Parts: sequence; structure tokens; C-alpha cells
Amino acid sequence: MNKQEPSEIIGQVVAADIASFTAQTLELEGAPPLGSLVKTDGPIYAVVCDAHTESIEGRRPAAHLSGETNLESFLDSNPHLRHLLRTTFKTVVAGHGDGPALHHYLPPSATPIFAPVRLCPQEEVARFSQSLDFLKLLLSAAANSDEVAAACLRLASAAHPDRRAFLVAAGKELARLLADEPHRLTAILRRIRP
Amino acid sequence: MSDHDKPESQTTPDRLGLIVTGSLASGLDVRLDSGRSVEDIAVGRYVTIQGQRSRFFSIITDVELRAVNRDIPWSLPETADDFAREVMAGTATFGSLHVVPYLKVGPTADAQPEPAKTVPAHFAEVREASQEDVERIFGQEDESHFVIGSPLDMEVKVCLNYQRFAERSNGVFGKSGTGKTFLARIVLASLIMKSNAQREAEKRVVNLVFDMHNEYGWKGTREGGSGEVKALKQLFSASVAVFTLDAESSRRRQVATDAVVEIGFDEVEPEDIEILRESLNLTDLAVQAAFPLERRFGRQWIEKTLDLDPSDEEEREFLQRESIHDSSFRSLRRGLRHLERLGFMRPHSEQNSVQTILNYLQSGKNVVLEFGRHGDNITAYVLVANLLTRRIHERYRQQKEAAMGDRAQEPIHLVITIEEAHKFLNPQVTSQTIFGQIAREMRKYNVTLLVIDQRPSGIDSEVMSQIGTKITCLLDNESDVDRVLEGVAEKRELKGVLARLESRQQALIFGHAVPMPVVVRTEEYGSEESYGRFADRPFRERLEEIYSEG
Repeated sequence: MNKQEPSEIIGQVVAADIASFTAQTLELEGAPPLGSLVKTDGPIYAVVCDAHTESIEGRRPAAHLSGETNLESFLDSNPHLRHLLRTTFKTVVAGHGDGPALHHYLPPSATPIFAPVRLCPQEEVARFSQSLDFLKLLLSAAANSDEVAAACLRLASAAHPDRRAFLVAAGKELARLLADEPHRLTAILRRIRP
Repeated sequence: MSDHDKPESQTTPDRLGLIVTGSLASGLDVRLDSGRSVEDIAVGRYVTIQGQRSRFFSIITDVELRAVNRDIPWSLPETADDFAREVMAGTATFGSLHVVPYLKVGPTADAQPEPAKTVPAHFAEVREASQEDVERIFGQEDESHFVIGSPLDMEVKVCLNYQRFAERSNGVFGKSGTGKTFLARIVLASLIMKSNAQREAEKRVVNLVFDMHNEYGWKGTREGGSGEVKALKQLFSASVAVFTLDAESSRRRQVATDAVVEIGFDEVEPEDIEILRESLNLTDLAVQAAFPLERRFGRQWIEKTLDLDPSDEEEREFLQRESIHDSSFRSLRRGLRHLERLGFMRPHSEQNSVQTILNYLQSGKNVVLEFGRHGDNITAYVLVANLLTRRIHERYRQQKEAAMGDRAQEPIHLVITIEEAHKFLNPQVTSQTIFGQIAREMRKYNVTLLVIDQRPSGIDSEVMSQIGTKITCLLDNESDVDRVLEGVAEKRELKGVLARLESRQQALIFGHAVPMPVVVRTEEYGSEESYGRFADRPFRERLEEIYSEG
């Protein structure tokens, strides 16, 4: 994710509700990694939980490989394909900013449609993950919530100087949230073990 | 809230955790902070709980491993690496302490501790008690407090309140080898020292010690049995007299004694035989036979009974008239013969032992009665202790009644120390012995007891309930523990503390003379430095004062 310029726009919101939004990427292969922290104007912070590439016409793309083994050169030799396909990614809203304050709960209104989406730079990831209250929002998301939470924590840990201390603190928060679901808890702990 | 970037900023190093639940009746549960390990906690230690307005002083009585969910610890082993353990500690799994609040101190600096009648609110902070806290509760050594030891893992001293200690009967308990004698010696030395320091006569006490194993008079065995330590006479030569029942033994041990005590047969009364029923192996009827014999022969009844010839017609008639069966008579005679063999028994004693002892006591001198070789003979011990105490108590009663209304005439407060107390205070004999009576009447006649015993379960529960302060070393017999803690509100909690005392130099003290139960490492005794603590300084200072005034 570091390939992106810190505040470069990577996509635009195409569907939104209070707890999540879907954005379309500017580049066909521009979907941010699972678990990365993105933000829209507002700012509203969200964690990437899914990505999807499909035909813009709603048809299923047919396989076209004709001898090329390299995907890049295949797309270069078929430039129209980039215009027939699009990539969207789904996010779980994890908090919002209010002036200088950060809140790790749902914003008062849904993310505006067509709002630009940016990848958060490392410093912002560190600042946002000072508090781990957003984990509750991630864990209550519908699909892949445990994988998303684990991926998010793995990525966020890199933004903290003491990676292990961060993961232990996150683990403790998970232990509190998942006290009644020991199997879920231990599965996530295995995924974030430093 | 996460705490990973400011781990301890809101907590102080002595913080243990937070109150989460509990009640005044059953104690409070403390959730241990994740940074604290249960392995660093010990039952018997003090904690303070900072409520919204008051501080509560409590004692740790149990440590527990808890989990918020029953299944969590069981689901873990497969991932029980350091990371998982660290994550779980203090969140899904945590240590918990059970603490019992005893005292409450108000918000002002000069507020006095008072018994806790409520509990602190939820999430009150629990800290380790500081040295100042302990000092505030147990006082500092002064005219009315004496040092008994230090709390576990602390350097401060725990003091007993001298006045409150002296005004009730007290007990030192513990199975053999746990340092009862050692503790009792410290208590006695402290009593003598504090008594000497009192200016008002009515606050003074004298001790009469029935010293079974010659441990309190001149010298005693060091704890652990190697070497010797100074006993009371060496510490307070001016205010302690050593009496002996066995002059030869005292000579051999090079003990300078103040008097040799002899007991005349004519001083023994049937009541004294009654309490010896068990140790002389007498039947009930044999004991009953003593009464008519005494009525008939008067003070010489023992000698005459021993000389009595049951084959004589006249005597046989007498025995029949009094319905004394031949076997009872024989049983009684066998018992009396046993007394006859005791070295200190005389047909008639010229000296009046009771009066001699009383004279010493009245002049403010403490008396230690050594039993010499008779210490191993429980019959001798029970007989002498009971006989002397009964008469001394009787004199005290007369004096006290004569002094009714005039406190200046009252006899000086007497503390009688007996060992193997269950022999005197067991439910079968306690109603007959003077000791049961003294224990029950408290200090009505200015006499109280210091009982030393290794089998407190043998002591009558009514007597036990009258014991003001209990100093208890390790006891491992369930019934002994139950009896010692009988009537104590926090019995269940203290039981755990008591069972985990170390087998030496540790004691649980609770009752009248301490504001709350306390586990102490007993004060060091046996070095020159420790003797220095008991130096008769206040007495000397008083003398100097008197001279300078004159």
C-alpha cells in the first residue's frame, strides 16, 4: 500500500450507508489491500473488507488469453478491456473525525456519494489506531469480519514503533470483545501473532 | 480504551487492582490489574482501598484464577504461547483477590480508624498498604503499646495495646514447635516492661507464671532448640522473682531462685483432686469419696485416708455409711499415693507458699514458678497451678471486695500464665477449676489469664469466647482451627490465612488488643540488641526523677 502517494485519491464512493461504503478504484488494479485504512472527506475512516472486479455491463467477462502469459502485456495488447471492466472495494466504517477529535464510532450520516477516497498515510494509521474501539465495528461487520480485523491489525502494527506492544494491546481488546466466543478469539490471535 | 501507549500512566506502582464485587459480610473481590502477577501476592498481607470519601484497611484472604468465560482457559492450550498468555492476562483471564475490609478511616488526616460498617463503591482502587498505613493502625511503641512483630514483607512494627491486652484473658496457640513459648516470653517481657513504665498504679500488672518447662524464669532454650536465651529474671532482675518446686533441678541449672515452694497435704482439698480425675485415672465415685473423708478427718484427710485400714470394723462401717464402695476407696487411695510421691509434697508445710507468692505479687514483683523435673508430670502441674491459683484468687476476691469503692486499695492486676491450658479448661473440668471461673468473670477480681496451648480444641468453647486477644501460630488440626476462630465474623477467611502460616515465627493475632487481625513475623528475641529493647529504662528513669525531685 506504500506504493500510493500518501493522500492520493485511489477511488470514489459509489454506494454508501452509515456503516459501510463501496468505492470504485481509479485504476483497474488499484484496490487497496484487505484491512487497510482509508478515509473520505469529512473525514470518515473505513477499513477495506472486500474488493471486486467485474464487467461494467454486468456481463461476465470471457477468458481471452491467447498465448500471453503476462497479465500486464495482455491488458496492454487489449486496451479496450480496461474500459470494459471496473474494480470496486467495500469498506467497513470504523470512525470519523470531528475537528481535531477522532471518534471510533459511526458517523452521524452516511458517506457522501462520489466522495473521493484516500489511503491513510502511516502517521494517520498510527493516530487512528491509538484507540482500539473500532475493533468492535469491524467484528460486527457481516462477512469475513475476523479476517478483516486480523488484516487491519497486522497492517496497523507496522505503523507503531513497538509493534508487539500494539498487538498485545489489540489482542487484549479482542479478548474483552470476544470473551464469549473463545474459538473466534483464538483464531484471530493466531492470525496476528507477531 | 487501549492502554498500549500509556501503560502505567494512570496507575501507581503499588496499585493492585479494582474492587469489582463483594459484600461486607463475605468480603470483597478485587480484579487484579493485568500488570500484576498473582504470584507476587500472599494471603495475610494488607491492602488499602481508596473509596470516594474513606480509606478501608483490608487483609488479603484468598487469591484466585478467574476467567470471564468458563471455556476460554480451556480453549487456549493449543495457542498458549507467550503472546496469547500476555493477551489473556487481565482480560479474558485474570487474577482475583478476596479481601476483607476491617477498618475505615475518614478523609481528614487526624481521623481515627473505626470498624468498617460499609464497603467501598465499585471500582475503588486497591493498593498495597504502605508502612505509614500500618503504623497508623497499629500505633507506635509508646507507654501503652508494645511491639510484637512486623507484618509480612514490611519493616514497620505491629504493636499491641497494653491496656486492652491486660484487661482480658488472652491466649497463645499453635501446634508444638511453632514458637508459642518464644511468643509468650516476648509477651510477658513486654507486659512487665510496660507495667513498669506506668505511672498510675491501677494500670500496672504483675505476672504469675506456672512455668512447666523452666523457660521463663532465668533462661530458656533458643527457638529451634540450640543454645539459650535470657528469660525474664535476667531482663528484669528487680521486678521478677523465680520460685521453684524442685530446688535440686534449679541448682543443677544454676538458677538463683528466690524461694522453694512446698505444698502440704493439709493444703490439698477434695476440689483439687476433682480436677486430677483424668490424670490420676480416678473414677467419678472415687473423686466423690474424697468429700466425706475430708469432712471426717479435716485438714489431715489425705494422710489419714492413706493410713486408713479398711479391714478395721469401725472404718468399714464408716465407709459403708458414706456409701463409699471398696473399689472407689482403693482407686482414690492409689491416686493419693501418686501425690505422695511428688517431691514437693510434705505432710505439712511450714511455709505458707500462697502468702509468700502473694506478698511478692502485691509488692509489684512478677513470680515465675519453675516446675523443674515435675514439669513432665502433668498431675503435678495441674495440682499446683490449680491449688495455688484457687487460693490466690480467693485472696484477691476478698481484697477486691474489701476495697469496694476505694480504687486505691484494690489489689494490683494479676495475669496468670498457664501452659497446657486444655488440661484446666476442657469442658469436663472447666466448671470445677478456678481457671474456668477466672476466664469467665473477666477482670472482675483483677485477675486474668494468659493461656498457652497446643490443642485449643480441648478448651471449652465458653472459655474460648472470653479470650480477648488470640495470638495463633500455625495450627493444622481442623478442630483446633475451628475452636480458635469460633465466634470470629471472618472465620472462613481467617482460616485460610491461619492454615498458611509458616511453621515458625509467624502468628496471626486478632481480638481485643489489635484493631484488626494481623499476621506478624514475630520480633527477634535472643540477641543483645533484642534484650536492650526490654531494658528496664522507664523504671530507672522514674527513680532518677524521684531522686531529682527529692
